Amino acid sequence: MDVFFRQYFDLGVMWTHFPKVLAGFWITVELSLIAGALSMVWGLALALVRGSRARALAPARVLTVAYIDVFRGIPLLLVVLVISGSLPFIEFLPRWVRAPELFGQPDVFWFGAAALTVTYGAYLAEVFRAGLEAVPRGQLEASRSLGMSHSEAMRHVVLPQAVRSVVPPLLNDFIALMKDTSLVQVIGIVEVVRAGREVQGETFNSSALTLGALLFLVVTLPLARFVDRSMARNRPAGASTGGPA
Amino acid sequence: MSPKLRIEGLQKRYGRLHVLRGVDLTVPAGAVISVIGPSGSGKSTLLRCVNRLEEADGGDILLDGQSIRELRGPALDLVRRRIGMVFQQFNLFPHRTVLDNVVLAQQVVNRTGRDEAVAAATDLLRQVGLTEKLDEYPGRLSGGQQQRVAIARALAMRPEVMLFDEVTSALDPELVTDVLDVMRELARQGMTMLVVTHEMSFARDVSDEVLFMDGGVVVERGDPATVFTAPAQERTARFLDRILNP
Ligand SMILES: Nc1ncnc2c1ncn2[C@@H]1O[C@H](COP(=O)(O)OP(=O)(O)O)[C@@H](O)[C@H]1O
Ligand SMILES: [Mg+2]
Repeated sequence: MDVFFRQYFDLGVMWTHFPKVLAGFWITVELSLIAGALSMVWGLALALVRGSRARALAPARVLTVAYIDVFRGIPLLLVVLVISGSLPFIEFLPRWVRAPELFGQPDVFWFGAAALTVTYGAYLAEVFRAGLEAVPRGQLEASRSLGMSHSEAMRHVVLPQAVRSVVPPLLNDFIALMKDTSLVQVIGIVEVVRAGREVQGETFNSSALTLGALLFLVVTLPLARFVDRSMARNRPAGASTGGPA
Repeated sequence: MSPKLRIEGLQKRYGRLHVLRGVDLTVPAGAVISVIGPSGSGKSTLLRCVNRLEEADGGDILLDGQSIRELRGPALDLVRRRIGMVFQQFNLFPHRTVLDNVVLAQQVVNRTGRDEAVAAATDLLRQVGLTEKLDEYPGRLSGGQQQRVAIARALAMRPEVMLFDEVTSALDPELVTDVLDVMRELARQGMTMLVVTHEMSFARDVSDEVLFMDGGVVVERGDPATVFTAPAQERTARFLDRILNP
């Protein structure tokens, strides 16, 4: 029993390797925030194209649907490997794409962020699409009838309502994204899981990984609680768009 | 002088369903024209074609003698501003206060400054009897109050024509009067109005002309007194009998 406990909860190991694990966790957080922000922008753009009705955008709409299907259907790890193993060798690409070293982060960091964005953009596009479709059509029509252009109506009337309803599912996907950052260690990013694994290899003890798990929970547990609560709150209120109060 | 609004031979199909089969109609400036008819006869579609929420398949729509059927982009937005519309389901913006519902389009479309827009909105909301509700959200208002906000919101764009699509049909009976009073007052002030309604007393007392629509055509039209007391068409008589003696 004692052996078991020491394997996972050796405070000495945790203490000694705390700086390394914490540094890894910081990378995890940076990667999550950057990829999270980028996939939100990318997902929203995809959703807007997919939901548009303009005839000129029909080809783009088809491409968007195909994109979303493909990247929801293949493993993130595969995308990570394809991006990191191909971009540096495509010679006509500009240097900042082949070997990005922006804001003091190494190229592998950006390949990882790109892979996460490409994949999670597809997931978030579906979240945004559901949010946009949940806004009653009469909202757009009322705005247009007042003389707003399509984009003005989207910006001032439809999107603000859609965004509110998608906050909980967005946060859910953010939690998933944060956990999935552990996959990018395969291309050499020492994020928290990789840091813990390296300690495990040196010490034959798993406590650094336990420490990593605890650090994850510090972020993901409150987020998950918040999501649960706001979903519960949104349910009874729901559709209060017109109809006698 | 050309009439404010003129509709000529308007056609609309939804797939194989032929909803409007050549509708003609003229609304002179300052006139109130009411359209009555059974559900499904194409009344909403007619109004929605006028401000181009739906594309007509044939015929023409003229505002001050100018065709608006082919307009696109900014020119279409400009024309929509000149035509106000009030919907059966209100379609207020639930994420904005009552005041902001009336202010928003002024700022976004007309680029009116906030102060000026607020002053205009406050004035309009006073006219429809909602001075006390400026900072409420629409969800906390009764249906009748919401519909009056919707009227004020449309009026804030200073439209030249107002379209009303069964604006009292979603209301509890005791709330109908307040909304109709606002519309009567608007008519008295000389607003040009095209009103689809099931309120026969309104159609009879306020309109300059009443049209009875059925099956996508105007079956009968005339001054209210004649249409309501001595309809020329059998179909009109049957419809009125059903509505007035339920
Ligand atoms: N977007 C649409 N797609 C298909 N059919 C429609 C659509 N809108 C209306 N219709 C049909 O057109 C006919 C006329 O509808 P509408 O103009 O709403 O009638 P009214 O307002 O007189 O009740 C109905 O049969 C209705 O089902
Ligand atoms: Mg209707």
